[in-house]
Amino acid sequence: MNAPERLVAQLPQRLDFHDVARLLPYGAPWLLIDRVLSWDSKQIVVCKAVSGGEVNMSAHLRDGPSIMPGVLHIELVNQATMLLMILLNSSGQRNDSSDGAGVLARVKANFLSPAYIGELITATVKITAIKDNMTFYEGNVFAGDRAVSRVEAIGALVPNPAAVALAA
Amino acid sequence: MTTTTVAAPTPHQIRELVELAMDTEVPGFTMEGNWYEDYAMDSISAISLVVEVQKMFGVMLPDDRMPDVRTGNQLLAIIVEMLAQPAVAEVAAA
Repeated sequence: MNAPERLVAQLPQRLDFHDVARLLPYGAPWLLIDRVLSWDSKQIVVCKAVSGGEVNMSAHLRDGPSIMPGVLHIELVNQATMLLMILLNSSGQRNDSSDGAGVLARVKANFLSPAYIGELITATVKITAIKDNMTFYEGNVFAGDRAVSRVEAIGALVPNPAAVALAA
Repeated sequence: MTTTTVAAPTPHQIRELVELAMDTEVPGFTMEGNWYEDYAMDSISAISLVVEVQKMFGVMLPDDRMPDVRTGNQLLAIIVEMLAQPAVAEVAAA
């Protein structure tokens, strides 16, 4: 059993909102993952309830229609990828920010159908390659059986922005 | 002992690899063109190219060789070289 497989076996497969909040460096309203349904060494499945009570949703669009902003689909997939990397690389501990910051380097998204306020959406995110501090991943977002978006992206690990700014 | 021959990439595949890596069409692509000077390839695309080659041909191009790979002809040559290595040929035949 290799290291990622050991972690998958040791850590819980289902994580609730507070587990996720403990692991990801985000808070409301930016933390988008409500629950982890499953994960392994290649893939993670997360879900989110799209609520009109969230600032990001109620402001978009103010007079309707009641749809989740496309940029948040991208962010949901990004957060799921970051969470999977943390689960696999850090034994379930949040990364030390001095190690650097994960940023989005490139993204391509297809929005197939709106996700509406009141729906529960799931994102299945797969890491396709890791090369030179860059992570290649793709995510498919569904509302029930309906495909709502597909995201392909590259994330990069950059030096701690604060340290770079202080050194400048 | 059997010898396995893995098909060399075609120029069309080389162009496809470059366009996938750059995530854009390259209208004036030639096998002699320098990606960095002629097509403005950036560092993300250069790393993407290595990943796309691995996906399409199952070979990992060595990091220390990549700075010298700047044209379609050079990429074709190194892929052919990597495909000819016994371990790769065995995997390709499996």
